[in-house]
Amino acid sequence: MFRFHRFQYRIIFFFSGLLILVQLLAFLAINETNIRNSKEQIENGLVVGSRVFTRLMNSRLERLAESARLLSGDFAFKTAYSTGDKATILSAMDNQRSRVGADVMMIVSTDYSVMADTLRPKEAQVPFSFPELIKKAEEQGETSSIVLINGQPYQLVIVPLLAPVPISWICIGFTIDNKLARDFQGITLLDITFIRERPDHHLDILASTLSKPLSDSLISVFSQFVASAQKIDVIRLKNDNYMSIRIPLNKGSDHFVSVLMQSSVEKALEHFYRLRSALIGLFAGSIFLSLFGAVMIARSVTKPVLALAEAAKRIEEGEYEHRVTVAQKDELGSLAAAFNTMAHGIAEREEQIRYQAYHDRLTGLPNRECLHIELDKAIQSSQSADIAPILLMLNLNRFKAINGILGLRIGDLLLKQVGERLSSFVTESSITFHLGGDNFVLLFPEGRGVEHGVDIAQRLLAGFEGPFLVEGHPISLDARIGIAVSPIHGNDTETLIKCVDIAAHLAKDSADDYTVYSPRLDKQAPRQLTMLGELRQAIEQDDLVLYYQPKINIKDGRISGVESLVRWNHPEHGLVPPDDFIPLAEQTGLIKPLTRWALKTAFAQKEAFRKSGLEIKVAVNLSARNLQDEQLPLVVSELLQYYKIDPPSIILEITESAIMLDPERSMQIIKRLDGLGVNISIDDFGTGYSSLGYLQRLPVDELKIDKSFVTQMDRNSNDVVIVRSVIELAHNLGLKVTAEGIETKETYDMLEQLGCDRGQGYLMSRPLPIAAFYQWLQDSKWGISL
Amino acid sequence: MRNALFTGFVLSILLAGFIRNAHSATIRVLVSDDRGTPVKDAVVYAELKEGKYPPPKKMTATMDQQNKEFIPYVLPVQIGTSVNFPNSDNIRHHVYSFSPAKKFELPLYKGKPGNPVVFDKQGAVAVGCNIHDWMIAYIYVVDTPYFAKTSENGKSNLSDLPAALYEIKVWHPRMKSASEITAKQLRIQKNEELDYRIELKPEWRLHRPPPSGMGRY
Repeated sequence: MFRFHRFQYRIIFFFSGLLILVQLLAFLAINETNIRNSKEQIENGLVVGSRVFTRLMNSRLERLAESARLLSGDFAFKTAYSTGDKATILSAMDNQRSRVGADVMMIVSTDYSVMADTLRPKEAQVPFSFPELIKKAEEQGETSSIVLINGQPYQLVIVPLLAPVPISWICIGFTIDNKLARDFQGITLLDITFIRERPDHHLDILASTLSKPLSDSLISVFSQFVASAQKIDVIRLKNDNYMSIRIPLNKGSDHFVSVLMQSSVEKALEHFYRLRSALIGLFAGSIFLSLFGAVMIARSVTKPVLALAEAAKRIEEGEYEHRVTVAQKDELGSLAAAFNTMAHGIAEREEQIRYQAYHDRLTGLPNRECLHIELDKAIQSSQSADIAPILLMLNLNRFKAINGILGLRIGDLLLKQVGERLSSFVTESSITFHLGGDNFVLLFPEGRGVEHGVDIAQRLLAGFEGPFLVEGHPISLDARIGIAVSPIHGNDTETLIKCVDIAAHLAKDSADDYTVYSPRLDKQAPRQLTMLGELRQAIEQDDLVLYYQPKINIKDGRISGVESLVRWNHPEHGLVPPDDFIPLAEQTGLIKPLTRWALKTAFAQKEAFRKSGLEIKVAVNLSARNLQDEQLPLVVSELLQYYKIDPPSIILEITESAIMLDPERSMQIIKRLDGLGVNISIDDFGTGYSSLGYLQRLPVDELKIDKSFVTQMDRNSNDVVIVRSVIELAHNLGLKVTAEGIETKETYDMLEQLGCDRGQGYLMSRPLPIAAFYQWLQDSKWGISL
Repeated sequence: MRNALFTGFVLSILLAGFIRNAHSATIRVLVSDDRGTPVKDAVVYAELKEGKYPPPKKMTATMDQQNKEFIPYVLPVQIGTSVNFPNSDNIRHHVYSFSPAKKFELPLYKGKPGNPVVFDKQGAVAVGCNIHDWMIAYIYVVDTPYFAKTSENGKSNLSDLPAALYEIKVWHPRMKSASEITAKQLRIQKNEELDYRIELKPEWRLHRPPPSGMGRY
C-alpha cells in the first residue's frame, strides 16, 4: 500500500498526463483525418459515381437511340410501316424492342397520335401523352425523357422514322425500377434513388435501392435538398447520415425527375470504427502501462524519500539508532547511507553536548542541570516517606585561599581529587555532582531519613581527615556539609536544592562540620542580607566604633602602640563581633568603605593622641580585598597629609593569606604603601602558607605571630620552637616581631627571653573603646600617665 | 455599272412579256423567313381560281444524283410530270419515297433507270436513298403550270400569268404552317410584287458523314 505523495503525484501526472495528452491529440488527429478522409472518399465516390451513372445512363440511352435509329433506317421496316399494316408494324416493333432489351416501343405520328404501342397493342390511334417530347424531337432531331406511363416510370428515347424525312417518331424506352437502380448500385456502389417531384412538390420515389423505411424517410427530408443539385449534401435517414448527390435527369411540365446517389457515412466509417476501437484499446493499454510505470518509478523515488523523511523525523525526535534501509544502489541509496552516517554523527555530537551540558568540565562529574534532572527522577520514583532522596552539599572552607596561594592549577587538581574521593567513597547507590568551585552535591535517591543523612555526612567528613597530596603538596581540607532530606524538608526539586544550599551555607560558619536543614535556618540567610544593608548604613552613619588594643614593648614593659579593631554597635543586636560582618563586607565589596572609615577614624585618633602628648604607633588592619584596591595608597596618602601624621607612626597590618590571594598585585600595592613611609606588618603569621623567601621580598617591617602559636606556648614546647624559629628568622631578616594572644605572665616572660620585640594580649589588655583605653593608660602598669 | 446592267436586264424582260402577251403579267415573289432572311428553295405557285389551265403538255423533269446528293434539293413539278432519276455517281443508289403523294422505289441502280417516275398526285414527295440516309430531296407536285422556285436571294418570278384570279401559295420543306395559310388570293392583271413571310422549322437534315450520335443527350 503506497501513500499518495505530492512528488509521486507530480511524476505520475507529468508522465502519464503527457502521454495521455499526446495520445489524445494523436487520437483526435487520426480520428479527424480518418473521418475527413472517409468523407472525402465518400465525396469522391459520389462524384465518380455520379459521373459513372451519367455515363452509363447516356450510353444506355444511346444504345436505345442507336437501335431506334437503326430501326428507323431499316427499309424493310419503313416499307412495312408504309403499308400501314398495324399488326405487321407491331410485330416488327416488338421484335426490335426485345432485340435491344427495351421495355417499351411506340410509333407516334407527326400529328402526335400513337400509331402503335407495344404496351397497348390493341389500342387504336390515341393522342400521344407527351406531345411536347415530339416537339422537342422535331427541334433537336432526337430527344429523351423520363415519363410515366400508367404510373410506371420509363426512360424514353425518341427518334424520327426517316423516309427520308421524319414521317413519324419512334419512342423506345426502358423501365426505371428497383432492378435498374440495383444495376447502377452494383456499378457505382452507391445507393440509387429515382425521385420525381411534381409541380406541387409532392415527391414520388420511382425506384430505389434503399429499404422502404429509408426511402420513406427520404421523402420527408428530400424537399430541402432539391435546391442544391449537383452538390454533395448530408441527408439524415433514420439513424444514419448519407452523403448524397442529386443529378437532375429531366424536367418536364408535370415532373422533375432526379436521381439521388447516396453513400452511408456510417457504413463508410465502419472499417475506421474498427480501427478506432483498436486504437482506443492500444491507447488505453499504453496509458495504463505508463501509469503503472510512473507509479513504480515514482514509488522507487518516493518510497526511499519517505523513508528518509521518516528517518529525519526520528532524528528530530532524538532517535538516532534507527537506520534507513534503502536497497537501491542508486543516488537514493547513497543518500540513505549518508543519512545513516549523519545520524550517527549527530548522535555522537549530541551525546558530547549532552555530556558537556550535564557534566562539569573540570571534574567530569554531573553538574547542576543534571542534579535537577536526577533529583526530579529520584523524587518521582520515591516510593514512600521512608525511602526518599537525601541531598548532601559539600563546601570546602578557605578553598579560595588555597587557590590563591597554590595557584588555580593546583586548586583544579585538588577539586578533581575531591570529586574522585567523593565518587569512590560513598558505597550506597549515589550520584556525585560538582556544581562548580568547591561546591559538591551528593544525591542518595534511596535515603532513609535525617539520621541516614547525618551518618553519611559523618563518614564523608571522616574521609576528609587525611590530607590530599597534590603535586607533592599535602593539603588538609576543612569540608563542611549541608544536609536536606526528602520529603520532610521538601518534596520537590527546587525546594530541596534551596534547603541543602541554606544548610551548606550555614555549615560554613557553623561550629559543626555539618548542618542539617531546618526551617529555622531559613531566617538566618535573610538575616545576613538585612545585616549587609544595616552595615552599609552603619558605615555611612558612623555607627561603627574603633576599639584599641595596646601593643607593649617587651623590653621596657611600656606601651608602644595600639592596634585598632572595628566594632559594630548594632542598635538591636548590640555589639556584633567582627567575624560576623567582616567576611560579609569582604564578600560584597563593602570592605572598601569600611576600611576607609577605619583608616580615617584611626588617623584622626592618632592625631588626637599626639595632641594629648601620647606618641604611640597606631595599627590599622587591611583586608585581602584592600590589597587589590589601587586607590588605597592614594587614600592613605591623603589621610596622612590631612592629619599631618608622621608616616612611620602608622602600621598597616596585612594577613599572610591576604597577600597570597594575588601576590603580584599585593606586592605592588604594598610597595606603594611602603613608599608613603608607613610601616607594614604581617598579621596572623604562621597560619598561611607563605614562604619566608617571598616575604623577604616585601617591604615589611614587622611580623605578628598568630595567637594560636602563642597562647599555648606555656604548655606546648612545639609552639615554643615555632615561635623561637619565627623570631630568629624575623630578626635575621631585620624585622620586628610582635606576639599576639599573650594571656599569661609565663608566656610574656618566655617571649621576653626569646627576644620578642612586642606583645599584645589579654594579659595586658583586651581591645578597649577609646574612653576605656584612656582610663587603662592611667591605671595600668603598662600604661603611660599623661 | 452593275446597276445599269441589272436595270437593263429587268427592262428587257418586262419588255419581252409585254410584247408576247398583252394580257399576261409577271408576279415577282420574295420569300423570306420571319427574320427577314431570304428563303431559297421555296416553291411558289399560283393556282387558278377561275377558268381553266391550258391543257398539259408532256412534261419531264430530272432529279439527278451527284456526289451522293440529290440535285436539286427541291424540284417543283406539275401533276403528270415524269421525273427521271439519273445516277451520275459511280456507285449505286436506291431511290425511294414513302410519301402519300407518291410512293415509289427505284431499287439499286446505276446510270439511268429504265422508266421515269410519273408524279400524278398533288403534294410533297420526300425522296430518299435507302443506302445514303442523308440524301434527301423534295419533289413538290402542284396542280398548276404556274410555279417557280426561289433562288438564293429568295426571289422567284411567276411569269406569263394570264390575267385571272389566282391563289398564290408558297411551300417549303421546313415550312411550319400549311401552304393554305399563307396563300394570297389575287386578281392579276398586271405585274405584281408579292412578299411572303414564312415560319420555318429548324433545319432538319442528316449530314454527311452521318454523326455518331454520341453525347447528344
